[in-house]
Amino acid sequence: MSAVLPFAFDYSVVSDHSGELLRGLLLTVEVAACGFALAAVLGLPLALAGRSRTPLLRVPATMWIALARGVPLLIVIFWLYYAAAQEGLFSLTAFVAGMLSLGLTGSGYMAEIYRSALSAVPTGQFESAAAIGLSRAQAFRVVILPQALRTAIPPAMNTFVMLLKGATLLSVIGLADMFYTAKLVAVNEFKPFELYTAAAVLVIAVTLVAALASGFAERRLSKGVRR
Amino acid sequence: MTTLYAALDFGPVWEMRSELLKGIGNMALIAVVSFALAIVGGLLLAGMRQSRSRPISWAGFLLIQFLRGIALYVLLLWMFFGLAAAGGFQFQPVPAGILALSLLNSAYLAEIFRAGYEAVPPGQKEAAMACGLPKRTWFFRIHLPQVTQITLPAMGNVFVDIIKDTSILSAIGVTELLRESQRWAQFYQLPFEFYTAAAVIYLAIVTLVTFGWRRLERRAGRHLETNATVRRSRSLLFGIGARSETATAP
Repeated sequence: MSAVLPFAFDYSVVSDHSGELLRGLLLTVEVAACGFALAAVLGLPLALAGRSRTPLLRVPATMWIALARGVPLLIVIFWLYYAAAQEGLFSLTAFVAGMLSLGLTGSGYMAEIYRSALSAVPTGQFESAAAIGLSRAQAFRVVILPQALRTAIPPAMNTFVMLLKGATLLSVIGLADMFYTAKLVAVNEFKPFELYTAAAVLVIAVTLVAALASGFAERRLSKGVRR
Repeated sequence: MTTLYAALDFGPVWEMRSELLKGIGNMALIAVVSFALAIVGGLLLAGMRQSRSRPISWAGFLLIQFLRGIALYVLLLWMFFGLAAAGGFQFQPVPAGILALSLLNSAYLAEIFRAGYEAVPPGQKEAAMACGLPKRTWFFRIHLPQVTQITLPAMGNVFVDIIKDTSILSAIGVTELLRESQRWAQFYQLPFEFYTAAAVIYLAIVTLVTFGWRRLERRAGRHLETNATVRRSRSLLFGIGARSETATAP
């Protein structure tokens, strides 16, 4: 390998700290998963409120979505972690601040995904559900939502991957995740190339796994549909 | 609550407006250059993917997967600190940021271009050939306008993402909006005011760009719009004219 590369790649510094890196990676995935769960939970009512006929629900929901999609994640992180604490509003741990910022940013994206998935369900489904005597709530829960969720999975997984990549930013507020460890070791051992390469490989690996899981989940939820 | 309002002091934000404006200028420059380069890169990657040669197509696939999987922050530090330490190759902050942004987003654009290219119905090409149009005319006058019209909304999303992601370049010392806000937030000890101002500015820019992009989309899709007179007469005749726009949208 050293004949190919114009410089030496010191594997030992990576293997020496592999335990810490992997533990950090677990934390990265954990905070991203918590943020995604929050986004997925917030997104559905947001999407429904955005489709509502009363402006009392629609306007705030639209503004929330615009805010969540328009403000960069890094600013949300700084705002929740430094600005709010400085102003004495609340003071959060790095994990909670990270989870909240990922969740709030993701909620705008998830709301858009739910909205387009709901509008992709053919109107005939509503009509036939009404024709067989289901109430509006029943029709939504048993007929519309399962079909919408299936179309929502691939883009939702993209959002998860986006949040996972955004989670690497949480090292700036001192969340001791994988990238924080990589930065720390890179500085201490002065091996930035090795550590950042390892970090990149880990991030790519996790996103690939997420893509595979998405395909699996999509097949599971498409059981009812034969193509 | 009164203490909260008394504590808020946006005066320094206004005083530092020229610095923040400089940051906005840098952000705009970086975003536009990165977007232009990403379009070029995206076309290249999409071309590789479409290639008839197996190895080239596979290389394109791998490159796209690789670039879509990596986080911008990781790539930035890898390029800026990692490459410098390993190969003695030191980027300047702005070129490093532009390169990282355009590399990552070219992968997204490549997928968008490919999907748009395939979304044009094949009948369009057959009809053009049947009319005896030369291949070049088909591509530039028939195919490309339709591909543009299909891909523009997704391209707008990528552009907005690039604008938002320029904030991450503050990590390697690019003096864009967030970096300036951070600097003065620390100087004045007013993080709440400066970060709130930065958030508002970003939101305003993103909203403006989104509206501008909508206009562009409408312009690219103007061949699909029904003439106002026709629409009016149709609605008089059949009462369906109001639906014509949704009916013709692809």
